[in-house]
Amino acid sequence: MMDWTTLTNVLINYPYIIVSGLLLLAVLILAATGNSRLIRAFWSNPYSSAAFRLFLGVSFIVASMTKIPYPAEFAENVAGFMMVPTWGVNLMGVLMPWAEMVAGLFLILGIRTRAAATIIGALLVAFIIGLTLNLVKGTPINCGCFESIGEPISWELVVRDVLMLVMAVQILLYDRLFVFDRGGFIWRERKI
Amino acid sequence: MKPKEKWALGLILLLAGLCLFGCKERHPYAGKFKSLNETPEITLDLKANGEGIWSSADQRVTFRWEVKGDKIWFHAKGGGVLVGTPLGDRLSVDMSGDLYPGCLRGRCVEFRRIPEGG
Repeated sequence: MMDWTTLTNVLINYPYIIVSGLLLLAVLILAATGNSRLIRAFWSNPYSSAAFRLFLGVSFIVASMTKIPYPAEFAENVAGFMMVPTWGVNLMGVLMPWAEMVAGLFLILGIRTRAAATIIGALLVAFIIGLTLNLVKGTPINCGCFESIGEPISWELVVRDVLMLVMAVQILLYDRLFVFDRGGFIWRERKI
Repeated sequence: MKPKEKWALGLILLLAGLCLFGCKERHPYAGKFKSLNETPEITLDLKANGEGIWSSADQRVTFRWEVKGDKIWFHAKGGGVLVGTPLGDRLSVDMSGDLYPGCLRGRCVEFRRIPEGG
């Protein structure tokens, strides 16, 4: 049976490579043609938002499920980044994985998607700052993104987080399909 | 079926799927292991319910263990993690604390399974 490690690799790495490739292709087309219409069409498309919601939602749920059972391990990872005061390390170790889980579920289910995207975006900004500062300092620590060990920080992870942040911003601006609104789940567009 | 009911059913299926993926096969690795070259001797008791006991002389540490890929992860309550590599009836546990846990010679503790009733 497929275990979490394999599932995480499949869910995170392959879509990450595909989405990164698509974004790179979009930039290349823009550079080659000098025409930004295609990029704009992709960027403002609500179906892009739906795809990004699914990708970010699954990513954050998977990430949280390896942390929630072992909050002390995640607290060690948080402490390694040296960004949180001592009194906040354990609090962060317990709360952050649940925030990731709830925000991820909300994104997939279409509940308060823009609020969920804002929370995920804020988390990603914190991750990007933490990773960059520690990479510049050369601190030999684990990311703690999907596993508590065996995942050293790298610039590749910064790029991944920046791409995810771009997706969160896109959701915040253009998401309007497959959402729960006051009247329940709707299949029509939500007014922005 | 109303859209809300469909959505609730989808949510239940999603959660059930997540729970299913959360289940792991621990049984093949459960059992007692003894260290080969350590003094004092270390005994590792991997219970089928995911709990474990690391005992050496008068020291006794409880932990939780799980199988991830081809490795066994040992989670101490205080946040420590060790990674072991099962090799037949042997178990090699990385004590180095490396960013890439593996089992370089001289940095691992080797265990051998104690036959049941032994």
